[in-house]
Amino acid sequence: MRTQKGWILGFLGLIGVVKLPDIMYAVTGFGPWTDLVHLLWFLWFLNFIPDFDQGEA
Amino acid sequence: METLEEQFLAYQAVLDWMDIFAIAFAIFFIGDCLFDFCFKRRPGWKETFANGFIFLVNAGLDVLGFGLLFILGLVIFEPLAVFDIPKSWWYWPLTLLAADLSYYWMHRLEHEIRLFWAVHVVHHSSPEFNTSTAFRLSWVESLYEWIFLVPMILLGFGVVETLIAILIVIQYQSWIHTEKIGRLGFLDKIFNTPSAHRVHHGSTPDCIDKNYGGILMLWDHLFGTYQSEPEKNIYGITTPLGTSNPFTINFAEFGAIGRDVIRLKGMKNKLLALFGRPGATEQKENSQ
Repeated sequence: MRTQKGWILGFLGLIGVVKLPDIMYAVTGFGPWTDLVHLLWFLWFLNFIPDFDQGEA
Repeated sequence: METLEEQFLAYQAVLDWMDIFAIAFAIFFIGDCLFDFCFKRRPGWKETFANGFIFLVNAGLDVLGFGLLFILGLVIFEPLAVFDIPKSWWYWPLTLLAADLSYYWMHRLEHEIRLFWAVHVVHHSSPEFNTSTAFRLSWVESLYEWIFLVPMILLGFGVVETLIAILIVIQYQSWIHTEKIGRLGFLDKIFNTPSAHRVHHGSTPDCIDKNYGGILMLWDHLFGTYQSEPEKNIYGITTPLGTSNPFTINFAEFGAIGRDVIRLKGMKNKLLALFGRPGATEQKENSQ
């Protein structure tokens, strides 16, 4: 298991957690649907996924 | 005097953020399951379903009032508080720190006293380690875990603040049950990160009884139980259960203790089977 080089950028995904109330309002129809764009912040979390060596689960 | 409900309402903003964190974890859990399903990364789904079933029963027990025991137990001790801690700016950091320390010792004793281990083993007995493991908590934990918070109440921390602080410590740990997040550098030494917690769930000799911390690894460094992640890790317990039956998962160790207490001769040996370290009975028998 090897950590990705840019793992520290994964923390930008936390902005998605902060924006979660807006996303929830958009999902439930109480806020503008354009707020769903904040879901994209979660993609930064992908930087945390390590590279697995061959044979590792 | 404010009622408990009114005191909880004063912290509504904190509770709202805890809800948001729970939703974020639910998204993470679904994403984790979908990823593993699409890329066939789990050996099977029996363990995941068992963890889900255990979680649902726990939710039902909370509705039935098991969670209330936590509050009632602490309320009884509130009038016996020695100090009256003023609610200054440092009150909350101190409450969180005290809750984290209480959690450390509760967690450590759950690993080192067999009767408590019989309860906590539920969380450790899965040979898999993924987000669903966070849901795998014993059905009887809430019957006694409040006892470990009594020292905080006696010191003068408020019941509501103590409960919120321990809930934060417990909820923090939901995201760390994963292999999808690699090592996080220096943070692994300061906080309970996925890497630090993978060590805690390991069953190899270098991982057993290590990394008990809730949020901070500070306590593990202080009390000598810190271990950094090895290259290879085997999750689960040293004697695998070999079943995904939620009832066996919850009560198998109690059965083993009962059999040992009946089988062993002498009060000392019976007490060792109940309150000794897990494995102490076998160790003693093998050395004789």
